[in-house]
Amino acid sequence: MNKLTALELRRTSLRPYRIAALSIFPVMLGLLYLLASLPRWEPYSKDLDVLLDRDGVTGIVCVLCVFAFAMVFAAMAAKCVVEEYSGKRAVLLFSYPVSRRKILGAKLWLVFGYTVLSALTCGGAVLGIFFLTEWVFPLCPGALAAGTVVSVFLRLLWSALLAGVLGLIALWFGFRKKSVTATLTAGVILSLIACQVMSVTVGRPISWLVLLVVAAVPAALCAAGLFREVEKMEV
Amino acid sequence: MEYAISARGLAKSFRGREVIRDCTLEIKRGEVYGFLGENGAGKTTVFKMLLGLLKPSAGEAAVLGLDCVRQSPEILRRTGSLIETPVFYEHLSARENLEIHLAYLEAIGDPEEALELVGLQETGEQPVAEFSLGMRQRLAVARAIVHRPEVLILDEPVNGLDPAGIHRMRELFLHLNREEGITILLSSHILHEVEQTASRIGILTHGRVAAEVDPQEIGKDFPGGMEAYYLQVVGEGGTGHE
Ligand SMILES: Nc1ncnc2c1ncn2[C@@H]1O[C@H](COP(=O)(O)OP(=O)(O)O)[C@@H](O)[C@H]1O
Ligand SMILES: [Mg+2]
Repeated sequence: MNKLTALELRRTSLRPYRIAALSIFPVMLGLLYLLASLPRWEPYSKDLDVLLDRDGVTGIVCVLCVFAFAMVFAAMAAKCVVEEYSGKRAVLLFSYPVSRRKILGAKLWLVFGYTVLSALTCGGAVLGIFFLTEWVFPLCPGALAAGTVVSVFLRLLWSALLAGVLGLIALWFGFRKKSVTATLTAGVILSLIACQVMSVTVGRPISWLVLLVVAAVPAALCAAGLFREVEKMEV
Repeated sequence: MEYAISARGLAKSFRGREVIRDCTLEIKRGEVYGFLGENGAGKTTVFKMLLGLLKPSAGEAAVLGLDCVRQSPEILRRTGSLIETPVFYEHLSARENLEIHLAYLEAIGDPEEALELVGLQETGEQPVAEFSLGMRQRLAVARAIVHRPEVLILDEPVNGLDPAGIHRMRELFLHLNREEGITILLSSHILHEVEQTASRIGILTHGRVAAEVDPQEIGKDFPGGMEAYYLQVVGEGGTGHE
């Protein structure tokens, strides 16, 4: 971690985001077990076919993970980026004799890194617990295969990165309007769209990687746009 | 001689409206220069241009011989500033705010000493969010001086302070100027505030420094004193508001 990121971390209170991540954890865990045990309550429903296997139930939890952590990103970015570059706060930021690009870069790293890592930790813990109980006392049909575990964790990785990428695009919208509300609204809309795509393609793991790559292109453009913007900003 | 602060033909427009035009300013090292002007006259705008926060539409300015557009980082390192209502990291203490400021400046300074100079040494771990307006203003001054700058640019630094606080600040500015040799440029829209601190006063009206006076000398040529003189300068053709 470089010096600017460390400074950023020092002056940002991470408490709200930690609380958010800690609240998302039981929700994800509860949902996962609910979905996994659902076929036992409704054994004859055809709609539940997709949920029957471990790929299905963990996939839906990943979808929730994307939504929840894209929102954490948006909230954190609204606070440490949008607000900091709005009005009088920007005067403070620009009165440091440090390249404006570097300061923004440190902020984006912090928000992206923190969100993606919390998504991985939170999702990883949920999936870890689930696989452990599946191993000892399976809810889903069939034996637990090592391949499933690997592929599910890979999907969690795509999902965590996707949450960060979506958050970045939402930040761009919010930054243009210099509005916290706009950031959050863009976050909701973008992640709803992405989650829709993800739930439709839940049976085809590779499609999520494609989605991630496709979303990363506009996200990179958004980041480049933000750097250009702070460079020429007047306060 | 090299000026601490100089500006020539400086201009700034916001959306086609010219707020500063053909503004010239020359401040020598070691001076305390009072920048006087009504609300909206453009004092903050000039200060922001000096610090590189705003780009001039025309003209040029230099601080410590450094160009305000191209060499702004170096200026920011060697100047201390307070612009309008200062902002802080609200959940942190006064000392932590100063430490972070020093870290960004990559400068060495003594936060405790700066806090003591402005009378905030007792605040300890109290977060800035709980500070009164006057305490915030004093903390802003502490932040401006903590890295021992050569020039101080203070935009309405005594705004919101009570009479005792104003007195204390005035003593502090004079101390910094005389003992530490810091050049000070400070603005106000209230005449008495600059009159008692500044060694020279520039009156900003209609986008430029319309007149410069030495407050000690004014009584000689102007029997009505500083106030009558100020009103005459500002009164010539309306206010700074357009
Ligand atoms: N960013 C801005 N956009 C548009 N107008 C501005 C901006 N900043 C200042 N102004 C205008 O410029 C004029 C001078 O403002 P300012 O420098 O803040 O005056 P002062 O500090 O002397 O009170 C005011 O009329 C203000 O409305
Ligand atoms: Mg002002």
